[in-house]
Amino acid sequence: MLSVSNLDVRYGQFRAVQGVSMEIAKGDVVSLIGANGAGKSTLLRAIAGALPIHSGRLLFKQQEITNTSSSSRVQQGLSLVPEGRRLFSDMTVEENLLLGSTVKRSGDWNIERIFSTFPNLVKRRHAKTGNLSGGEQQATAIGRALMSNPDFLILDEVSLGLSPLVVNQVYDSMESLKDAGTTILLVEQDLERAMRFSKRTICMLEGRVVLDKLTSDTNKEEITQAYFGLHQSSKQEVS
Amino acid sequence: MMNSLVQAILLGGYYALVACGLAFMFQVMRIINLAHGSLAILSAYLVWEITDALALSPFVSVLMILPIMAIIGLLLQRVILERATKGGELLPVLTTFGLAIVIDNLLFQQFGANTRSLSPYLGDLSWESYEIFGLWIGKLPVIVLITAIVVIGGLDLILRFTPLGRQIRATAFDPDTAGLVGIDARKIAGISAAIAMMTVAISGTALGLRGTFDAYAGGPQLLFAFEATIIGGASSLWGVFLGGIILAIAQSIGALIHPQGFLLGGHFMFLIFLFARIYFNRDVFTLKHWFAKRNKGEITA
Amino acid sequence: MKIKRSNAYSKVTLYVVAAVFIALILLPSFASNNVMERLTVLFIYIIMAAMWNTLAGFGGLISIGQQLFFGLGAYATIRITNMAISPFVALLIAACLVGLLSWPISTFMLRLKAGEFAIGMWVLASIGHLLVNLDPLIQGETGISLIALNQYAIESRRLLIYFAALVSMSGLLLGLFYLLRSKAGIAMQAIRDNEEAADSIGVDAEKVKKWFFIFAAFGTALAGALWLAQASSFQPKTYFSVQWTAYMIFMVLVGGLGRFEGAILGALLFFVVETWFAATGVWYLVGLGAVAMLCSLFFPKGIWGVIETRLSITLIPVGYQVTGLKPDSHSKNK
Repeated sequence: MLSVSNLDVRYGQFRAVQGVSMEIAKGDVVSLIGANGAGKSTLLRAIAGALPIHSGRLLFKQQEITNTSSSSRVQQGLSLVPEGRRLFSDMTVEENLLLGSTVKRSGDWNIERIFSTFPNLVKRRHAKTGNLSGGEQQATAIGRALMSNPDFLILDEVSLGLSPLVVNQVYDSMESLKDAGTTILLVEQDLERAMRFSKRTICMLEGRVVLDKLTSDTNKEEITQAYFGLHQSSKQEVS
Repeated sequence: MMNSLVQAILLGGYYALVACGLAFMFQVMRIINLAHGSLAILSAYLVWEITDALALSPFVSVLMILPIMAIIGLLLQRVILERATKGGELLPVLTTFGLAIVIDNLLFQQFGANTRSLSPYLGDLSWESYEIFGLWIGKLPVIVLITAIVVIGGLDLILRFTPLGRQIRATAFDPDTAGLVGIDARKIAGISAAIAMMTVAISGTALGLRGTFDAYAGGPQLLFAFEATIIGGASSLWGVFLGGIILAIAQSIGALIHPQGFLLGGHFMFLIFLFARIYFNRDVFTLKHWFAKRNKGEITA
Repeated sequence: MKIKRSNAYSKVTLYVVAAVFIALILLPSFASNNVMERLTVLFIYIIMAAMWNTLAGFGGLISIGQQLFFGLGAYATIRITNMAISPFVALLIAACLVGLLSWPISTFMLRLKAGEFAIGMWVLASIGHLLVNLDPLIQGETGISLIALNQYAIESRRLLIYFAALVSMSGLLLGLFYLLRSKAGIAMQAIRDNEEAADSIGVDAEKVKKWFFIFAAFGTALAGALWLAQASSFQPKTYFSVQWTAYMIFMVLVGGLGRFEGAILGALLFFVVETWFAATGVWYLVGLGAVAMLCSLFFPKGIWGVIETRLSITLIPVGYQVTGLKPDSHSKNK
């Protein structure tokens, strides 16, 4: 579904993502692991079209999207829940969700289904999102992305700043997405949770992919070593 | 005294009308269009031409130029502003200033140095007045004031309650995230420019109805629009409406103090508000706040 | 990291500049009156372009209101000569006074952003114009002549104005040259090219901008005062016209925004264009606006910028060549 080849993303001279390649098939649930500054968010934002790509290619459903705008990628079914939620905080929950349906793709998601998936939002429907709790904001951000009926959903640090209880709620509601066959790529700091949720794990270090395996074929120890770059020898062959 | 206050409020209606397009574009695209005044004068000439050639009422002619100005707005965005904004925040200032010079001088070339007015095409309406509590209030200025309220109110309703308005607000608030949600920033910018130019068309007509204009009248209109926007606070269109009225009142006070004090009164009021904004409410005014937010987002990404 | 300033071209340039300067000093002994008068105008254009370039090209501040300083420079000269001071002393005093006035103006105007600063300056120019109109000496828009010039015979007057303009231009360009070569000046150019590099130099950009603003105000006021000497009459409407800023913008955009040589080249071009096309009246102004607009859209670095990148030469070494950084440090400009 998504094919990333030899992707380079830069901030000025700084190469935040270097020569990253990966293939994500339909129905895959992939978690992206890595320390702060490893380039995870940069990669996700570049895939979603929020950052320009310096070199390399992006294919989505066999179509070249390397230089297309973020809105056209949403139109094609690729949707990002950005880090820090980035809600339109002077608008209500309902307005944020309605904005999500700007591209009008057909599918099962509509505003009522969002409210039944995230029941905590129901009574906040007409509240400004700037006044919501972290969990409610995160639910709105996910709901907003779902409103475009994406085939491929990217989630950047959805549990950041949330209490464990709320994180559980968020992941519970995402299980239903998984069951519906939505392809998911997510960044998650909590390794155990990531391994439990995903079928595949990709680990990044200093802008490169250092590990890319089915979650069932790897273990916590191997991922931890890749995370800290202790596995220098395997780095070359994997990337 | 009472009379000049009423006249000032009516004049303020015109300033609000000419300012709302400038403020709207600034809010949505973060561009101050220096050709704003010149485009208003261009529309005034267009209305004058159509009115004169087809023997129509100016109120009908303005409806005909609305789509023309909307297309000009779209072209302005697509051909000039889109390119200029990619080069940083200084280029739009330079290019729109260059555009203003081009428009002003083309108008001069075409229409010469004589001043024009739309009021001769209005018949009795140009001098008819209402008598209220002993004050004579011209019908025409009242129509302009009401138009300002309708235009600003209409824009406000569009922004608040329509999908398009939501998308415009989202783009103004955070263009990157708006793109991630599926909003086509390019389309929104084009539509916003078109809307702004339609208000410009109306304000140019209002200028021609209320008084006279000539090819080089664009500069002063830009300054009035800018002053009203700054006084009103640029963050809400109703603020801009108020800004227009305050500007006009300040000009009247200036004129009371000194026979040449009309413009100075307005300018000084502008400076007072500028000071106040810089020292008390800097964030909103300089948009540092907004830029800081954007930059932070990019760095942590 | 090392910063290198001179290159092979700059030595040659030094000789050329010296030769041109000497030629210009000797010129009055054989040139016709008309040539001297035209050259005086050219010198003033170069001052105006260089000053606007200081502000916009190096300080990153686009002002549409530089006619404020131009007009005030002329007005102050009128006022000072009215106190029986020689006009050639008066124009320097006038420029200093305007420079002094620009300091409080800078403290709040520099807090404005891009377009707001641009139009804000225009409003200030309008205020300056209206206030000058209130001075009974000026007689409103009727204006006044610089009568004090009549104490000089026409020949010596022309010569004095020529030298005043030549000295002012040379002095201001030299001043700008050293300002740009100072640590602060280099930092400002670095900021223009690459924000990240500027951080490491550690200069208070706001403070430098303020100095650029004041310097530009001083120079523009001097240009206004010289124009008054050359034209010998003052009408507020003419001197406070936004057209002056339009000319400055045209010269700098065409010549090369933020390039020392660019402003001079732009002024020369403008001078030629004006000589040839000013008779076409309005179309000439349409052309100026259109060219300025196209330049800013398609060649934001102007003609000199194109020359510089194509041939990679710098005649006047105000810039900096950073050595010892990664090779692509200059490839991605802001």
